[in-house]
Amino acid sequence: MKLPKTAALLMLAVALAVTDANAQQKCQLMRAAKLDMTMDPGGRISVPMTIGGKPISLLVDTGGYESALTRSTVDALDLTTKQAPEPIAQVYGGVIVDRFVFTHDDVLGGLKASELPFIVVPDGTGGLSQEEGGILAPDVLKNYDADFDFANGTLNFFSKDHCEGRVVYWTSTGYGKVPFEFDHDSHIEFTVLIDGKEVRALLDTGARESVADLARIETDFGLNEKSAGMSRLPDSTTKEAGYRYAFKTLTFDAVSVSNPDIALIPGDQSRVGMAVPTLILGMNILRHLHIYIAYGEKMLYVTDASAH
Amino acid sequence: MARLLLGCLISLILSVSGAWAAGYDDFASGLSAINRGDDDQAITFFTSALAAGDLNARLVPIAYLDRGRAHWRKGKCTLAIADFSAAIKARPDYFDAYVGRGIADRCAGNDADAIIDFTQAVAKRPFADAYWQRGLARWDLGDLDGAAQDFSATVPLAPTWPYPALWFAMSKQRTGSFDGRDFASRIDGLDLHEWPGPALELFRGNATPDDVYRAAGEGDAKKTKGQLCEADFYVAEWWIVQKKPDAAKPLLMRARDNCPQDFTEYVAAAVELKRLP
Repeated sequence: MKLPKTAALLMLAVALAVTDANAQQKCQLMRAAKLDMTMDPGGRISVPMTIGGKPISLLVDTGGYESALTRSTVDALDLTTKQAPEPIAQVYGGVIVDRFVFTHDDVLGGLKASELPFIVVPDGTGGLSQEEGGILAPDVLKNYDADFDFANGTLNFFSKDHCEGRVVYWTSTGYGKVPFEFDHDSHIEFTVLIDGKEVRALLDTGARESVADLARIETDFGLNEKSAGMSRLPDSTTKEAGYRYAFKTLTFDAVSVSNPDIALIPGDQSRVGMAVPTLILGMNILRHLHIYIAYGEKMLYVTDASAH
Repeated sequence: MARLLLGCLISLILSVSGAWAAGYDDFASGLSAINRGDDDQAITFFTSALAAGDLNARLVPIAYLDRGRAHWRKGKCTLAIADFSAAIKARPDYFDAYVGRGIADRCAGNDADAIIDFTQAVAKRPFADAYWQRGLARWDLGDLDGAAQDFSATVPLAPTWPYPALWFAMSKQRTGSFDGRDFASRIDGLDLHEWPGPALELFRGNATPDDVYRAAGEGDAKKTKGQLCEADFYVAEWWIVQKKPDAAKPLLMRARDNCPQDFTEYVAAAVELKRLP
């Protein structure tokens, strides 16, 4: 069962209205919120939000499914959960998620909502740290353009209503432009080049590491476990070994990341399989970039993280 | 061809543009290194990031925290304490840094300092990890009642994690105040068939040391190595409860010699050996 998504998004669109309603110049980017990022010890990012005046921290997860609050956060906020008529999701460890809450007086940077829906997940779901009270997933993120400025520790939300292609405000030195498509959960799928070969990737700020499907990389790149540059992951079991391979570059249009660190994992362990992209692009690579996700245009604008 | 050349030119420009912010680039590489377990590289990158002087102020405490983690994993406890202290100085409400410094304090043998840090962490956020770690520090110092209180506070905050329940049972048995009925009500969510469930059953009187070793030996080689060293420690503690320290001592020595240094049982075995006559 999904949350009543259409209704929820409509609510967001209305409630999280852009603060500067008088802005007339469509080509001017309108910033709706500027949020200070915090990082967990592994480098994933969280942003502050208040619910009913109480501060919490939410992991920003472009690879998530529904925005969520942990059970202890729901308890601390004294929220009343509701039983969904059927299971909403299954999280790692096999726990069925079948409860949700509506929060009130929500503030995210300069954005305000009178009511938002969140599913309720066990503490620690998806490796949430103890400081993280939940997950901000694409159901919320996609209502604005999301600008990840990792080098300055800032997540900006901009109105999607702007002139196409006029978003790279932070540099004049050039940028990469990569079109993307949504999967059925509003995840961002696009094509990158790894050592010159096209690979379908999913952008996942909720993943600490980048992970690719071992079998498909072996096939597409003519590799095997004995190839030079292939090293076995320390936690591999004998039966289902995972590896790292020393790729040279990962390229987004005109922007490249050198020596991308990608774990190659058997498909059933890697969350990537035949039906989804070959590569989950996680924070170990993304944090080297400044990424503007133009949700309205379905376009990624990318520079080096330090470009200015 | 012209397009290709233009692409190359842009790539060149973009690579050059990053040079002004060496601090962030090294910081990002440091995070990647620590996540893949390469502590030496992590220390090198974070040191460079901090020395560059242009790292965003919000990232500075993270650089110190993660370099501290890398030092701690290498057994450099004093260096780790210094880094966690720097992280706290840069961000006084940094929960993870207080917990990290407390763990490093324990690693350096400063359990009293560790208790102060974990108490500060609990005051900031009453999370499971802070209670759990303070319980271990109190256990190290022989404050078994205080340890039991902290393990008791940890159990409901981490209901599917069996170790706090095991240490709670162990501490209560050591102080002679174990209440089987009360304990049963605390462990509803635990699967006692999975490791370390059999060790927990030992302290409840529902299993024997042989049962514990049999369960510890199940699984692949890497898993059983860790479980067997844990079994040595928990069975030794059970022998101490039975007032048979002579049976405990060789097992504790084996745990100290065989457990990885980042295992709770490694530190605890060394502490217990010093306590035994």
